Amino acid sequence: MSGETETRAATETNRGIGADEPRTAIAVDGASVRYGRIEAVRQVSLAVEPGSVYALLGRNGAGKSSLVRCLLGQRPLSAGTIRLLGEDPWRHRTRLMERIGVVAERPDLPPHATARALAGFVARVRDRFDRTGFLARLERFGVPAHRPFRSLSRGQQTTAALALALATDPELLVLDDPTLGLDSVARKALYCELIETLAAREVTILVTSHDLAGIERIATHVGILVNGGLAVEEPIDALRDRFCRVSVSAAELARLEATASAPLCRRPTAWGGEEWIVDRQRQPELEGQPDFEGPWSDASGREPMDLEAIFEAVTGGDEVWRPARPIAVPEEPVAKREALR
Amino acid sequence: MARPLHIDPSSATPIWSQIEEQLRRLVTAGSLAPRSAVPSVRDLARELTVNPATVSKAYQRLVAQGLLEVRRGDGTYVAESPPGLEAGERNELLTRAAERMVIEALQAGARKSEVETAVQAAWNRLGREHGADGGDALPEKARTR
Amino acid sequence: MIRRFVRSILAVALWEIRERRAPLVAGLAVGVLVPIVGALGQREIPTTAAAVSMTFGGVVALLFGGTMITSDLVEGRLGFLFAQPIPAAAVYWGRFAGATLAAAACQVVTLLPSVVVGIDPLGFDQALARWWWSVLAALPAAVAVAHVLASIVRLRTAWTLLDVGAAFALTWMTTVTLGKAELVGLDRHAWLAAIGFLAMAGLIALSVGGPLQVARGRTERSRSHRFLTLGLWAVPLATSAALALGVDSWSRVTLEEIDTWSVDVPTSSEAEWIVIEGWQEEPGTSVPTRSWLAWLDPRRSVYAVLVARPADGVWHQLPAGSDEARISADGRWITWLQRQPSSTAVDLLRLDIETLGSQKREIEPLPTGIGWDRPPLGYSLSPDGSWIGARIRVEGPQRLAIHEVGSGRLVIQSAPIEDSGVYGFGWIDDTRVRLVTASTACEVFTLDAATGTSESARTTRVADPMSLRCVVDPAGERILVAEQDSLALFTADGQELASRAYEGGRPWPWFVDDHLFVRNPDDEAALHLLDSETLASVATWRSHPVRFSPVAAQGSAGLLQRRVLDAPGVSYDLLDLDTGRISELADTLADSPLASGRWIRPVPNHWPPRIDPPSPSSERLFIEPRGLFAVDLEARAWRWVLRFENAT
Repeated sequence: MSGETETRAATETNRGIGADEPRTAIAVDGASVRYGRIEAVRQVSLAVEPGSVYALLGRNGAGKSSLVRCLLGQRPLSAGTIRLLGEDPWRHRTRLMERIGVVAERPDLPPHATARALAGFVARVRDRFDRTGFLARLERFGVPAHRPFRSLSRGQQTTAALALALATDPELLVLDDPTLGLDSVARKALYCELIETLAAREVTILVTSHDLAGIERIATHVGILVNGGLAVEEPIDALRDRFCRVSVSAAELARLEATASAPLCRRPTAWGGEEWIVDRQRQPELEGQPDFEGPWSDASGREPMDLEAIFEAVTGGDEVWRPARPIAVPEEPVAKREALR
Repeated sequence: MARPLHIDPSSATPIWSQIEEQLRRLVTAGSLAPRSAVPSVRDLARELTVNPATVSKAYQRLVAQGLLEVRRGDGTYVAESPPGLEAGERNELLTRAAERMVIEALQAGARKSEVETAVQAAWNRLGREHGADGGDALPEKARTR
Repeated sequence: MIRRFVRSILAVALWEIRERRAPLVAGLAVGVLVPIVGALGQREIPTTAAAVSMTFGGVVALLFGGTMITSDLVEGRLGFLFAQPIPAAAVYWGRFAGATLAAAACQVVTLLPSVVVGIDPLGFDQALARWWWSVLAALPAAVAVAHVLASIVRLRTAWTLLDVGAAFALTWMTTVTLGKAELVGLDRHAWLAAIGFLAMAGLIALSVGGPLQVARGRTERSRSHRFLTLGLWAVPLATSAALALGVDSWSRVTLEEIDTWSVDVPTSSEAEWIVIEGWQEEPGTSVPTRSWLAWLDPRRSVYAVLVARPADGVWHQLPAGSDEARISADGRWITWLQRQPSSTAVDLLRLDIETLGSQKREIEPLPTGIGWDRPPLGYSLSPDGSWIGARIRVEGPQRLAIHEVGSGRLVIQSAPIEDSGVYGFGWIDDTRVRLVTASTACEVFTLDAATGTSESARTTRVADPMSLRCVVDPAGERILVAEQDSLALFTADGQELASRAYEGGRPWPWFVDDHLFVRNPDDEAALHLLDSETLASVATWRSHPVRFSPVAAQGSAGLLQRRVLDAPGVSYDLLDLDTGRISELADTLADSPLASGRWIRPVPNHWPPRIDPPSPSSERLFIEPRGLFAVDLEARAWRWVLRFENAT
């Protein structure tokens, strides 16, 4: 399929750009975050190119928030480097925040303040702040500007935070689970606003979310954290192409087990066969196997998976799937280190 | 047609590809007349709740294929004479649709003659709506439009 | 950068003040209530207004300080400020400035309504006004302290343990250090200076801890607490440690620092102890190289008790707070009074010479079981170190008592002894201690530790008690009673042995071994030598022109020490007791310690064991803190016999 080769090629190009720092909106290299003996983030390396929408996914406790806090300069890395727009966020947070808009995981706007008053404060501390644009956007969203934030709903607070972030004309938006606690209408409004923003100007977005169905429509890249390590990092098209779900009949099971390498996940079906989740990068030998071209699969012999299904397969483990083998946390950075040595 | 495009994010086909394909069909089928305006990238992205870059990519590919054209400062329009499907492409499309139909038919336990009858009936009903005559040369007709 | 910093501080401070509007309005309301309630209740309105105002200001400052950073940190809202281009330090200082100004405004605003209705709350009571201004001035500290306390209490991380530990450590260290400083003899100014240093350290800690917490800890509780703890305690603990080290080094006296000393050596020729009590009367004056630093030295006087066994050649310093060291005649024991910090109680401690050596620098004091709520008026150690005689005052007049060293048992205690001049006090043999006092006559009190008996005797009354002087001979057996124009010699039982008239004014007698010198204070030139048995003038002696000074002598020849006040130091004259001839020793021994300008002590009747005895009999031994030296009186030469190392 032509799309596949193209996205592969795009990935290669991205990696090439990643080495060139100023062209990369976010460059994380070998980042680790330790809390005492617990390592919340392990050797994560990722690159976000300008203009992309990078969805950083992971289950609760996978290290998303820790990584985001480091990205926002709220804590230093234990090891590795982070460059946001070419600068170290821990050391140059103040300068950097002129160019970054943030929506925090929990609404952190001053509870007693009104949006109007807060706009005055932000205008005093920022060089760039579009106050009228901010108030206009609030009005469009139906968020009252004269009521204190604590009397607003969570969705309204998040919207206000997003409006505030957008009013600073950011080059980079960091959205830490903006859809958390939002109903579907509020979520839709939020996505519409992001789409507007993306259409209106060159902005890079890093977003963490649990709303996979929503985020997969706008994300261009997906990174999935598992136990602090980056298990998957792909452009979203390549990701969909990479993973697929196949049904294996009872008759073919034994033969496949002998010839094919083990799938990412597998579970028995009620029909005596098994359902496999296949990582085509790891199991190229399954490509074109006639056994996968049963009547229930599409023409290319596999059932496509949406982001949610991929996420479950990659992160779920025992709870969703009986894993045929444990999901290995990528060892690349370690190997790289050893190579350096 | 209130919503001529339908996106399935869970499909293995990338979203931009879905948009591209569906738009091409709309143009090829004549639902989008030549020189008629298509929605702006922003509007379509909002409607589909997808990344504008995705829509933009589909538009760019269609422009490159000559189906759409961009008028500076005005918007995007269907080309004066959009190229139809190549015979090969058409064949592939038909083959895939036929396979799906045959699978359905087999599952329903239908016979081949029943399938042919159903195709003929559908052709007569829908083809008229799409401006085709009762003949058997729809692809040629559609291409000439 | 600075522009951004200032801009951010201003913005954050203004925002903080804005957030604190409600208490300001409440303050105004309270302020309005005061004159109304005061008028209704017939109260002192100005006093009440000022008191209410400063109470309100203080409480509000604590409240504001406690919530200025901690609430947002605990509730996870500090990230908002950190998502703005605000320097982290500006977050702290802005909030701090805002909270402080808001609290100050609250304090002032509470006073305003009273002022408006024509009451001057601060003009009424000067003391209260001072308090009011003090509270206002202390608001920043209150805000900072409240912030720190609130952080420790509300963050509730493992660092709280360290906070508590550090607080205890600081308190303990400071208490110990200040106690030691008191014992070392730091004067009140130095003590206040130490408190001042610690207060300064506290202020620095407050102004470092908070900003460090916010700048390095940012939005994370544990990191935040960690940097608060580090920033908060590092400076005070370091200061306290520096003070402790300082006090410790001040308590270790170097010999160079001592310009005055008294030496005690055991009378037995077998003994090995030398004790000096040394002090420095004016810091810097005697040690020119240190004088320009003298103002930095918080000691107004140096005092130290040093002990040494000459054979070891090492001075050991007794612990800080030691006082009145006594050495037993057999040279085995030394006892001293050990003061305690912030207490008048003293303990008698002792040291066994056997535990001391040149290799062993730390001394090991032993308890004696003897202690007093207040230092005794005086005490004396028996020749073999088994007993002490003490002049104590429990209530009313003093008493003489004997305690057993080791058990602390009170062996015997005399009847009350009337307060009067003490002319002699000490052990006359292994078991008997004697006290000689004088009021209208010389009175002799003797306690016997062996028999547990007490005796007293008195000489004949004198006509003019004002001119009475008693002088006890070194053995404690004879007492010379001097009054205007006459001298009389008595035994300890009160029996008169001899008497004579003395012409030329009030006599000033003293014993030097067996010799009895008399001089007339009115006639500086006259110094007489009398026979210590008959009080007859010694024929070979002729009067000498000497100024007032003590005399020390050794054997049949001695030294007359003369202090020349207008000269840079002290010189020593050799006095030949047989011929009465005086010669200037210092002039001929200009390079010797004698000419050093320090107080040199002759060591009578003592040549320490294990040190080579003097070769010519004309050699005399002297001691000063640097060592023992011998002067050959005939050859007019000197040599070091032993150099001591510095005090440990």
